[in-house]
Amino acid sequence: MMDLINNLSLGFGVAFTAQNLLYAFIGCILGTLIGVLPGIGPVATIAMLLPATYALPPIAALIMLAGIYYGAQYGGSTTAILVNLPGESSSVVTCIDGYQMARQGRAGPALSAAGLGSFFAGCVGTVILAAFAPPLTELAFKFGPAEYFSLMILGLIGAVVLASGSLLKAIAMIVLGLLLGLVGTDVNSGVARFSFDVPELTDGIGFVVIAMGVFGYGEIITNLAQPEGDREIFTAEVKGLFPTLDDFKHMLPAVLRGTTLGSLLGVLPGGGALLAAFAAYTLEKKIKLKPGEIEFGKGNIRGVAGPESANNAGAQTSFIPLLTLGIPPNAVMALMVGAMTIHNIQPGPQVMTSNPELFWGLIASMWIGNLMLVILNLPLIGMWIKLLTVPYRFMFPAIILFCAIGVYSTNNNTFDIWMVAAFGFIGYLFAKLKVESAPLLLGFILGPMMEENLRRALLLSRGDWTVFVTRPLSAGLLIAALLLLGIVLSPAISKKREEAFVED
Amino acid sequence: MKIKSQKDFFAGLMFLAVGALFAIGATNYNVGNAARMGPGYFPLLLGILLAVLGAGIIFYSMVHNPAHGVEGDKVGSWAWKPIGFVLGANVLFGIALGGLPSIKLPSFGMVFGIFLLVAVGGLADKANQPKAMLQGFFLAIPITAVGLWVAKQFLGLQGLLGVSVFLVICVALTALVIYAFFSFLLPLIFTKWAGNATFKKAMMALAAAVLAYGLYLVGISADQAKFASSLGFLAEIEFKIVLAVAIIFIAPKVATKMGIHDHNAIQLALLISTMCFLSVWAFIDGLRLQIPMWPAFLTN
Repeated sequence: MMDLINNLSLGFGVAFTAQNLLYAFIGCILGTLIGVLPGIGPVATIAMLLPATYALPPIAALIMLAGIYYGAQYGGSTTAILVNLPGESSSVVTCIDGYQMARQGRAGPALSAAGLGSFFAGCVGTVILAAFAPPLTELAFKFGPAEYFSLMILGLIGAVVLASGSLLKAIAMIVLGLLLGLVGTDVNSGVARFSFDVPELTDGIGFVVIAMGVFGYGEIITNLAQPEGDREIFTAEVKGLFPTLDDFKHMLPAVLRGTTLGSLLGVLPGGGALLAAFAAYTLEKKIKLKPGEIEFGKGNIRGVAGPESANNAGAQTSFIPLLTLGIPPNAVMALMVGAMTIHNIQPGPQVMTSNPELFWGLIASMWIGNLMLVILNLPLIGMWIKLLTVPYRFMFPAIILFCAIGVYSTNNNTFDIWMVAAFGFIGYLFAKLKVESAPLLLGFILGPMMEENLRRALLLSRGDWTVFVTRPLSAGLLIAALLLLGIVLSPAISKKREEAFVED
Repeated sequence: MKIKSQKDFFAGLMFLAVGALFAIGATNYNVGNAARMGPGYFPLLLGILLAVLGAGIIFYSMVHNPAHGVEGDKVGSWAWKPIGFVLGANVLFGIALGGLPSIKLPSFGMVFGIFLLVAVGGLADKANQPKAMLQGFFLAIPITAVGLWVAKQFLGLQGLLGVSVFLVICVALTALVIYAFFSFLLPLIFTKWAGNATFKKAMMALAAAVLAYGLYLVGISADQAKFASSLGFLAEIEFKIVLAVAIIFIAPKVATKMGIHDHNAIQLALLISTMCFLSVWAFIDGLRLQIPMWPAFLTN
């Protein structure tokens, strides 16, 4: 307990400098600004804004990125409630009741419920992260290459479970991502693999290129290809922001349940915001309505507060596997790994011991970021709404421009711009063929790590593949992965799963 | 056998082909064995796995249709127009930035690239008419030139004039912030009192006093030159924002005076100019990214 307080005070000491507060603030603002735009999820937002952090010192850069991430999530829920367009998959369920509330002129309470619920969940998530990171880090030091390899398998399988649609296609996307991650110079032999004698390819494909191409351009093209529907935007109706006392009474238990669920699910490899939000909504629906309460799907405030707090708690605790084990549990965290490597930080258990200021500063700034968002965004909501009224035909050229500048400035090389065009096309192709792109990005980041750990594990065992099942920790992780796969494939669950994803 | 899901079928085909290509490519490198893995080992393994998965998906597409009730789960037509314009604009921007050394095309710089990107990329949406786009393109040239020139001129000012420009801007901005706060933000929080004129005036006076006192403190705590440099960064940003806002308000009026009545063209011109200001000020002046701003043959 004493350690926890000491660590957190170290973190707050770092985060409370004027400079870092400013960066957290800028990050929140920028994140919300982009996140609020319909059709742009957190992955594209972070990829787009990543170049803005290149010039900063590592701590400030990570603090700003964390701010961007939370800002993007907040912005996403705002769009979900006001326009019925989820900016990201985790706010899909927020749309259901949030939009109905907005239609009844209760957009203000819906937004506050989302904001306050998220803030509470963020606080709890931060404490959990701070409390569980040290013991998990110690566990991580016991991991050998075999355990790491099995852990990555478990993480990737976990990510697949969340992909909507075909399981087979999602696994194939992971493998494709792993393969793309292998392009470039092999660290062990120095051989340039699959580079076709293109000098730029010997450094590998940039993760910013893939993220922006597939998630940014691909989504823009997909949006433009759809005939513009009748979007109703509720701009005039946002008046009273604060929920009534009755709202609070309904909200509070939902927030508590959502936070608990989200914190638990976020830690799981492959878990995180999406699963948490879906699970929380299902849970809220199962709980009996109190007399006088509005039905679900018709604008029940619990349907906003529960999933939103779960998704924020999950977003927070999904940093745990990243910071302690160095393994990203979802696509957003995969981007964080990329961002850390750009700043010469190798994520993993050693970060906490070798760079405690960075580690605890980041954790403290997460809490600060959450606070800033509540303070900023509830009053500023009018400004974000104004942004929503800008027509898409003016919006998308600006988005293309920022993507292009961001991609170019990563290496100051036009080659990346040609690559992002290619991946933009590939992203549209994926959308056309209904294959989910998130597993691809995760596989891409994990590819080199996985190869390295497999190589080392087999080198130590002299080529004996049974090492993965004879070491108890590794075997346990693999069994967990198998169980997960078994659960998803079992007829009862797979039917439920299909229903859950059809619902949106 | 009939294909039940076209989407799945082609996805499977894609995975099968890519997996096979990677696996074949991997055999060019030293594969080695499990104990001593060569650079080709892991890619070969994954390539085969991907090809097998692809084949599995193809098989599955023959027996299962995930889109219930939709005959064949067709891939559907391709949105060639958005693809062409969006990706084409992106490529044109790249050419403008880096030039094409192979055909001796020099770099034209970011500002020209932005003109191209917005004008060409904008066409991806059919709501943007080509004619309006063209007009907007040419209309944006003077607006951008004036904006960038004025910003450059004024920021070079030193000494007393420079300081007074800051001060004027600071006061103007303070007023703007106060106005925005009261007309816009406060009503959202205190719905009840927002309409009360006395309350509004009192709050406004209070805020003005606090801000003026703050400025005064900063002012007396240092000599003028120091004051200017400490505020310099802030004033620079503020000045640019004010300038951009002024242009956005003035330009349409000037354009109408000059006989351009196409609302759409003016909007597009403003979009282009705003993007230029924003990119130059944020990326080149602010973040100091190494991006060429003007054509290479002009700056040398």
